[in-house]
Amino acid sequence: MKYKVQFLFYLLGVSVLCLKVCAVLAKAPDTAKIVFAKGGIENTRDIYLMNPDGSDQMNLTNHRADDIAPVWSPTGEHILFASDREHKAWGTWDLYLMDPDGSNVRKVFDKWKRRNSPTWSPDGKRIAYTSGEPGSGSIYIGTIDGKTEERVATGCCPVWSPDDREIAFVEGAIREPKRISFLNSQTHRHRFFFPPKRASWVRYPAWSPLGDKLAFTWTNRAELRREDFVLETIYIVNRDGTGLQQVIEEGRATVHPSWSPSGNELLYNAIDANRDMQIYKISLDSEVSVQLTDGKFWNYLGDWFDPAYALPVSPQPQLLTTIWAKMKKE
Amino acid sequence: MKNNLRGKIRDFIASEKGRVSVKGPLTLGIATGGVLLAQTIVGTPDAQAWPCEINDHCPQGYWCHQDGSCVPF
Repeated sequence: MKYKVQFLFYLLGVSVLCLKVCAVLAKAPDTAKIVFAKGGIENTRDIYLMNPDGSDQMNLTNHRADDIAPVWSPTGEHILFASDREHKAWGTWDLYLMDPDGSNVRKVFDKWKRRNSPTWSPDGKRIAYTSGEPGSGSIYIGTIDGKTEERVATGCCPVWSPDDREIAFVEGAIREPKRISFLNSQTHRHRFFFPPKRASWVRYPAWSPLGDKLAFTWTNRAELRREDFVLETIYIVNRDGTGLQQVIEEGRATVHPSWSPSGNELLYNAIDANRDMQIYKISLDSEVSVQLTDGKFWNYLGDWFDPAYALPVSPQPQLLTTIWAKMKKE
Repeated sequence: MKNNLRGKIRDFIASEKGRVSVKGPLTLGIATGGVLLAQTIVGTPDAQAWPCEINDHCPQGYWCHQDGSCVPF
């Protein structure tokens, strides 16, 4: 009897250890993969993977809940996403982690709260996200083990710079013009970035892999009429605010830019001829766009991981250096 | 015979028992059906009233307009 109890404890210990080790040893993809969300029949979305040419689409979540906003961990071993699987009501998304094959799905935080639009710190230890109702949310920074979280600003849709120094986010009241601001990841002080003078219709900030540029969308009009949504398009600006460049012509309603790990291409969402939202890819050299998804279900970006650009080391923000990003490029 | 049956039904519905078991639920059912039918015809105003900042915040088929509302596409 005594030995049986000992054996059971041993078995339990081994199982717990295996669960912990297995979670750590999740395998990153061997080849480049884009993670995105795709709508389905029941008006909920699932997380999918596909190759950078749009081939080999694979459903990772296959769940009746609404799963959105997937982002790769810096090493490609985990995918962070938002889901309403706990409350199953529209807008009740919270954050979840899973392995790149869709297994080992688990909550980031034990206690439910509205959390959405996550982004990883470059060392993979912290995350930033929006919490609250759309339009009146706050930016939070938390640890990936779900043990701590701290409110750092009012706004939406944070994206962490590759050198770890700043978090870009969208600041401004709902229905009002907005600004993209930079929040210092150490001091939590923030400053307006773009537009530098008057707020305007900007959103969807996205850092280049080197952290030297920011892509975003802008409807470059003083007043916003209902029919002006087609004028929203993608721009790139240098981190110092110079070199503003329009990437795609107005008139196609292009949103949600996301950089390729090489920094030579951008993914984006736009409406196709059948009035469905698809994922496209544009080469920043040739300016040629390619449609990657099709069909009647809407496709939402999304993040691109390439093992060739992932390094198992982290930047040191206290050294105030950007050499890290250049190392990655080389 | 037919008139007799109609009379009996009318009397039953007019009675306390008929009001509780038939007339009340029937009225409630017709009212509920009317509301559901009206909602179907008008569309789904709820989705358009949802506040949003990006397309993730809107259901499939709705675009997040920069005025902060989900607009059917």
